Amino acid sequence: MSGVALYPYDAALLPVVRHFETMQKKDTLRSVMAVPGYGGIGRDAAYACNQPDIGIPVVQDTEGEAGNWEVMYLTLRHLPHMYDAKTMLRRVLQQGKQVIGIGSKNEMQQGWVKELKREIPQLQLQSTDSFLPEVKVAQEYQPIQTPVILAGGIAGREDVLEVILTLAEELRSSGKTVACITNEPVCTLLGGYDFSALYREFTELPIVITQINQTVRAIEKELLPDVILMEAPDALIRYHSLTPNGFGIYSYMLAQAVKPDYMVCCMPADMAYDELIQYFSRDFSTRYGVGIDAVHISNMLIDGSEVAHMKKMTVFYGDMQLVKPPLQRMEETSELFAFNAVLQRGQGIAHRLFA
Amino acid sequence: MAMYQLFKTPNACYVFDAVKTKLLNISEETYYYIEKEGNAGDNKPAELLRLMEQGFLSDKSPVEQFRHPYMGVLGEVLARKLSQMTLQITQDCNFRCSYCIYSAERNEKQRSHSKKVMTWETARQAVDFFWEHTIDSEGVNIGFYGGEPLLQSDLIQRIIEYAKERFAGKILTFGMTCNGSLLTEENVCFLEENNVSLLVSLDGPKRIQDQNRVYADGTGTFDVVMKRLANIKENHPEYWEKVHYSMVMDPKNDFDEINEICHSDMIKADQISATLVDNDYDGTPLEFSENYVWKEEYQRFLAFLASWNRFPREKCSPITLISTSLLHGEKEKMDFADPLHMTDIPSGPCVPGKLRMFVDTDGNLFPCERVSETSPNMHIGTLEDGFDLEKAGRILQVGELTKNVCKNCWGFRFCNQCAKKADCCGEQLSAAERLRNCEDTRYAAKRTIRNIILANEAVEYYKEQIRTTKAEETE
Repeated sequence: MSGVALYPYDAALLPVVRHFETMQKKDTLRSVMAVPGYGGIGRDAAYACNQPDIGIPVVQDTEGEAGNWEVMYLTLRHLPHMYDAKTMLRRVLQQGKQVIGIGSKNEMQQGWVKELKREIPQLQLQSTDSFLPEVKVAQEYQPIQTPVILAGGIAGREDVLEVILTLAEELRSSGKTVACITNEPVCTLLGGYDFSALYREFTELPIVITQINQTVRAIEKELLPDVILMEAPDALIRYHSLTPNGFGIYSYMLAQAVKPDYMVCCMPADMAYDELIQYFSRDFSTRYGVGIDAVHISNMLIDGSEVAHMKKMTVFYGDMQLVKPPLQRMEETSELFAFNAVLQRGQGIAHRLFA
Repeated sequence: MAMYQLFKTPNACYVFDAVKTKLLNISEETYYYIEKEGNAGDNKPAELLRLMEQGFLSDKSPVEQFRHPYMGVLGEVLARKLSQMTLQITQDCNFRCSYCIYSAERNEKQRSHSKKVMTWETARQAVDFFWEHTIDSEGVNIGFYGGEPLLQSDLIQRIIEYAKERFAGKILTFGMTCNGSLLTEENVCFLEENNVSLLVSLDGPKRIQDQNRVYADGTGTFDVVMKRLANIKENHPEYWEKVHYSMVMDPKNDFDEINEICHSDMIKADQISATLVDNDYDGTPLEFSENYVWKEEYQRFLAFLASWNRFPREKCSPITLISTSLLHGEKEKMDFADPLHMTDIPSGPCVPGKLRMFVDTDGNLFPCERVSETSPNMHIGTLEDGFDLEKAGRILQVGELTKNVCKNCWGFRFCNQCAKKADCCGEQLSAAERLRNCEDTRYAAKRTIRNIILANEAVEYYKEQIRTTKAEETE
């Protein structure tokens, strides 16, 4: 078992860090490192999302480079392009440690990644597409036989990956074989698959959708899962006319490719009202062929003042106490199952979802 | 007060319904009926009856509770999502502008010029504080302010270098407001190297500039500032392209004369932000000359014509051209505005500290650089102790002071009164002070609605007369 470091860290990677030890047995996570500007250095990793501590501190890269670990997983997608990590990476390699850059096929093709590899030849690059099973082009589109749970967010980012990994963890612990299909390359470290490059394969849309379908079927054939968990690739619905963050186009393509059987919708706590959720559910039934079966209520909130003033959709993380009143309200007024994957981890969320 | 307002143009009649936040086209019959009887009386026109059945023209405001949407999350927002910090590098200045809010003659409720300088320790503490409170922000900005910040150019350089280290990996930008006199070659080089966004104060051509913006001995500053700008243009042309200008307009002056500076080739006229003299804290009303008022209105008229391609844009005052470009935003405001809700609040105050946290030389925190630094109401914390959430909350909820008036005001959705307007530097924010500004606020709201009507009618009634551009003609 190797001691590993994850770098650079940001809020999007909290679910991976939280579930790292339980979702794989190959490595042990010894260090979580961040660039100086991250803002949470010295604090617990969960501070990135203002969630309860998980006992893993985040250290600055220059501080963590000499830590007790052998392999650094360099999360290419999360490395800010303007940040020069080369000097630190060279020092790490000089210590005899390995640096493995993880990214999708598209990310590997970017100029700055190629330049990084040129300047640091010992850097290993691991494309997450290599984890995808081979697809035979001649195959047709065919239905997915395994139940598919689609998890997606209204804003596109509210703990969707956390929901996927929490459900996967629960289902696996009850003996189920689970295929996790996400848009986060680092999830391949946890035995998951990264589809992010597939959605960007813009040849012709029917071909893209067929490709997604065939890839899922190949996973189905290889893994023989009891359930497939899929992360929606973009926001499920346009949030506001002033900030067209996304129109659910990629999610629509995904839904065409796999015809999900269940949907978990992730919502900011201040939007979690049954009436609104039912409205979305009716819309998603038409749009994606599946209504909302359960709601994860997130402490991630949309920054309305930046929507109004900057015409930009950004988020911030409120206190976890914010999710409790809507959870209570949904319990009292709605037939839908509402939960919070962080607070209720290990408390039978998956069981209630299928009940 | 009725929750609606009537408007009439040569083409049509309108009523703005404040409860539903809708601008409705109505018949003349309905217009004159409402003007005379309001929504009462027994002989209402059919159209009016129909509108009232649909819930329009109600006298009753649905608003019962004032609560800003950020009240429940103010602590988290200030702990995690600050976006801009402005540092008061020094309280000293080499100018003594007559309208300066820090001048001894005009500081009824504001500090005066002093020799105070921010220490390096305080500056560093401010950068660290900002770093700790921006984890959820994608990008951050640090601004330098004064007095005249370039009096301490070494300190600024040191702050920039430290901030670049601290925020490495995050989008970090810098800005500076200065009087232009100290834009030496050396200073410009480091500003350009660090891509510091520059805002230079320039009030107009020589006579206008030298009337108010003077050195301590009374000599004018126009020549020095223009020389500095000329140097930037010649030796740093790319940086010159990005320089912006802050123009403080004294409305005692002739608008056309102020506007003359826009024709100078030393400045980029479309990068001028013009505002009127700020007299909020000195207790004196602004005086407007006729030559300002009617000439500014005339230029505004030309700007509208230019927006319809009926007048060359290059002949318009850039100052008023900007105001017509803002019209699009105003129209959007109307298009996307919500009706009034049971729990609601007028737009006015920003989230104090989130957008433009201001740090004075002693490390005290304020919502922005435009508020009184001597007002206990505006002092929302210190670098040492952090934010005073109670005070910040009072600023956010300033509308609560005048709730019973505001909730019945037709201008509710258009009210943009900053909390500063309720600040008379006493122990508490003042309802009376806030209400004193209502007339101006409602006047501005009426003007906005009239502009929106104008924009709508131009397309509806004057379509043939609105010239298309060449690109549109070839489509």
